[in-house]
Amino acid sequence: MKPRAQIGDNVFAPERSEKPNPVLRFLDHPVHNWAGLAIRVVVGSVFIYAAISKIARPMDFAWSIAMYRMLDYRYVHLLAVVLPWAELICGVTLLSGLWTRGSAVVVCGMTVMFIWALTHAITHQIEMTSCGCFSQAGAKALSTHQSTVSKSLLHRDIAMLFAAGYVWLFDSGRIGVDGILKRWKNGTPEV
Amino acid sequence: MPAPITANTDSIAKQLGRSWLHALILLAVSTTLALITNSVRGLGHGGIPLQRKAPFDLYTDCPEIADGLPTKQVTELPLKSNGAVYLDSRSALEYCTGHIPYALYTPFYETEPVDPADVQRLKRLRGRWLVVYGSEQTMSGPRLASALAAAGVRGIYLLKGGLKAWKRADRPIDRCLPGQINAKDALAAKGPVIYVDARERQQFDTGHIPAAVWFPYDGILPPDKKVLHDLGRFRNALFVVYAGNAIPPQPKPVQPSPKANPPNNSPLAQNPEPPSPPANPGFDAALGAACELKARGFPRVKVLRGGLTAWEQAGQPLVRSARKPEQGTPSSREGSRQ
Repeated sequence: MKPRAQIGDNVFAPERSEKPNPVLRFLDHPVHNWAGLAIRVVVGSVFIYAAISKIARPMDFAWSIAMYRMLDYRYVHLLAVVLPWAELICGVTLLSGLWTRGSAVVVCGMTVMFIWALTHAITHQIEMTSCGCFSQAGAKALSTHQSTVSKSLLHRDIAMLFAAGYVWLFDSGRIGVDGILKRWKNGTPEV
Repeated sequence: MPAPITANTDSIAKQLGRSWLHALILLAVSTTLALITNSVRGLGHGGIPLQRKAPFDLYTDCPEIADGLPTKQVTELPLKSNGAVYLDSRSALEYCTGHIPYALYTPFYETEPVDPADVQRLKRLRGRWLVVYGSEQTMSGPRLASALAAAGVRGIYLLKGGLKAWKRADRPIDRCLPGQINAKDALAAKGPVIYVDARERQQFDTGHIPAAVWFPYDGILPPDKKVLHDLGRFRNALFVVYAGNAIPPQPKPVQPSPKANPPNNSPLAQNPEPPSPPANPGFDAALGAACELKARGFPRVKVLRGGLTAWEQAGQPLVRSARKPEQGTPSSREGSRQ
C-alpha cells in the first residue's frame, strides 16, 4: 500500500529507486519548502500591502509613475491601473502557494522593473519624497534639492528579487495550494 | 514516513517551464481584472481614463526659488555634454564672445517671461542636469534659473563661479563671433543675401539698403520674434548686418605677456580670448544683432564693414521707408512692433 504523504514530502517526483544526483537532491531538499514558505509570506504580504493603496487611489499612483519621468505620459494611466492588480494577484497567489513558481516569475519581473526605475531616479537625481511604492499620497516633488531616492530602497528591491528568484527555483509550492491540489490529484487529499 | 528524495531533471525543468505559462496567465488575469474594475468604478469614482491626454503638471508648486538654487561645481560636471545641458543666460554678444561648448542660448530678459518654446524644449530633456550660468553683473543666471523653475522645468542647477570657474578649470570655450564683410564682397556674394538693419526705426526710415530687414538691437529688449521667425525661413542665406557707423572696428593690439598666456596644452591656448568689441554704439548694434542671429544658429552671418557709410561710399543706393518717421518719439521701436 502506498504510504500517506507527509508535509514536506516530494509528491511531485516519480518514484524511482536509483541514487539521485546530489545537485538534484539539494534542489529538492525539504528545507526549501519551509524557507520558500517564509519568503512567500513576507514577499506576498508586502506586495498585497503595496497593491491595496494603489488600487484605492490610482491617480496618486499615476503621479508617482510620472515622477520618474521614464514613461510617456500617455501610457502612465494604463500602467497605474494594471500594475497594482498584478501586484495583488501575485501577492495572493504567492501567499497561498497557487502557481507558486509562476507568481514568482511575475514578482521577479516587477521587481526588476522597480530596480530599473529606482536606478534611473538615483542616477538622474530625481527628487521625490518617496519612491511611491507604498505611500498613499504617492511620490511628490521635494521642497528642497537635498534628498533623492535612497539607495536603501534599491537594496530592498534587490533582496526581494533574490527572494522571488529563490522561490522560483527551489519552492515547488508543496506547502500551499499547489501541494494540496497535487496530493488531491494523486489520491492523498487529506494531507 | 517521508517519501525518498527522487527528484529528476525532467520534473524540475517541466515545473520551471510551466511557471512561465502560469506567469502569462496571471498577468492576463490581472490585466482583465484591472480593466474591468477601472471601468466599473467609473471616472471620478476611483477609475481613471486609460490614456492620459495631457502631460503631468508635476512641478507647478516649485519652491526652489524661495529655498535658494542648487549649485554644481565645475568638477561635478561631465566633460562631455551628454549628462548635462548648459544654458547661457547672457546676451548674444556675450554668448558669442565665449560660451561653454554646446551651451544653449537662452537669454534672460527682465521685460518678458521666459520663452514658452524654450520651456517646452527644456522639459523634454528629462533627467538631465540643466546647468545655468549667466552674467555676474545682471545676475541673469539665478534669474533665468528661477524663472525656468517657476515655469515648471526641473533639474536646474547653477554653475558655481559661472563661466570664470569653467575657464579656471581649463575647460574648453567655444566662440561664434561673426566675421566682417566689405560692401563689394557682399554685393558679389553668391546665393541669397539678406541685409539686416540693426538701427533704430527712425534711422531705418531715413534711409536703408534696399530690401533690408529691420532688426534693431539694443542689448536690453528681446528681439522681435516675428522677424526672427521670418528670417529663419531663409536660414542658409548670407545675412549682412549693418548699422550706421563709418568706423570699422579696429582690434586692439594685444601685448604678449608670458604671465597672462595660458599653457600651450590648455584648450584656451588654442582659442585665445578675442579683443573686446570697441566702444562704438553703431558697431555694437550691428555686432549685437549679428551675434543674436549667430547665437540662434544662423550659419552665415557677417557684419558690414564700415556700416551704411561704407555702403554709400561704394556708390550703392539707399531707399527711404514708405511710412513716415514718427516725430516726437526718440525711439519708436516699441510702438512699431505692435
